[in-house]
Amino acid sequence: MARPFTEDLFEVYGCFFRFRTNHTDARRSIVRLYQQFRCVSRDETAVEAVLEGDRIDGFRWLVGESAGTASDLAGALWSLEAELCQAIIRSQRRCMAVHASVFYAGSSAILLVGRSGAGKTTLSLALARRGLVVGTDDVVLVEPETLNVLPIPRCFHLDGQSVALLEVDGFRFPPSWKRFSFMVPSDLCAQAISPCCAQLLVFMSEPRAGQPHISLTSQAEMVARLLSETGQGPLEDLQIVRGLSRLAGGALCYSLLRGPLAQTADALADLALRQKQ
Amino acid sequence: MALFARRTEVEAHSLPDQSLLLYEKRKGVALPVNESGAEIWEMCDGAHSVDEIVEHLALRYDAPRSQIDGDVRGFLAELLRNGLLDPLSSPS
Repeated sequence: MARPFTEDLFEVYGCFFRFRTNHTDARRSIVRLYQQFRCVSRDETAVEAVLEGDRIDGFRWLVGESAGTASDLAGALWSLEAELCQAIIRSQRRCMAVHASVFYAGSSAILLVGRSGAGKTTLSLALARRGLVVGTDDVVLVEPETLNVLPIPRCFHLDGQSVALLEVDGFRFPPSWKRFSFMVPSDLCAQAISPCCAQLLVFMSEPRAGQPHISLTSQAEMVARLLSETGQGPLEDLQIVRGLSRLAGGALCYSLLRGPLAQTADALADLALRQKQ
Repeated sequence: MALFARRTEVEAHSLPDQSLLLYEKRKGVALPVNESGAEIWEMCDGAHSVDEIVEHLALRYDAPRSQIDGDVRGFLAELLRNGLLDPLSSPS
């Protein structure tokens, strides 16, 4: 007998969506991911998001007009969550979407900018082990007026090598990762995050080194790096440049040359904690 | 006498740490420059020659003149390569 569908409503930075599923773990996962953004019903048109589990056909997912199938729950959740992230970005009318991790030391926000595959996720989790609060490992929205950084929660995507590195570093994976590879920021720290500006901006430069090295870099260099990691959005190019110039102009900007994971995370955590003081 | 002029389409964003971002929308060029680069950029007004720019920086910075000369010419070449400057013909 098919299980009944449950329904949960969320509003993530102005993107209103309704998530329906007949799978208990799928519901728990999405509620954990967006727990800070749960809301009550309203008249506004919502994006429809559905994940349906079936013992025979596997899993079907749908977000708006995008849909797909997966043979396992992790695959379906990852696809659905990625589409929801895109829907949140597309719904923005004012904010810039920047490809970056954000973590917090007290009330200080630190933005970690780096291209895809640079190691932001692994480093973010190593920082979480050192007591910092991770908002997201992938994409943030920046409000052009306030320059507040709004993390879009994502599930952490890790390959086997990253898992091994984190285990050596002493990271303890939560049960949700062991069960179906779905780990989200709130699994690491349940603390609610308030919007705030970033006081530190760090970009991950190439290549890796024997030892990590963090050095001050110019704010103009940081704007150029941020631009290369900022997607198309509702703002004109010059508005984006001006907004990012204000963001970098109000922060201390650093370049990070990565070394081994533990030393790199120690150095970055030390920098963040000094900023907190 | 080599002269250069800033292209009007280039938007220069000054940052609080004295660095400067040169942005040219059509080509999608975003070039960060440091404080001395910002000074060179300002002097690319079609009136100052390369030698005059070098002379100005030699008075400001404690570095061998030959090094400053090389740095200025290298930076101007980068600006030209990125389409941020127009070379002007010599008036004499």
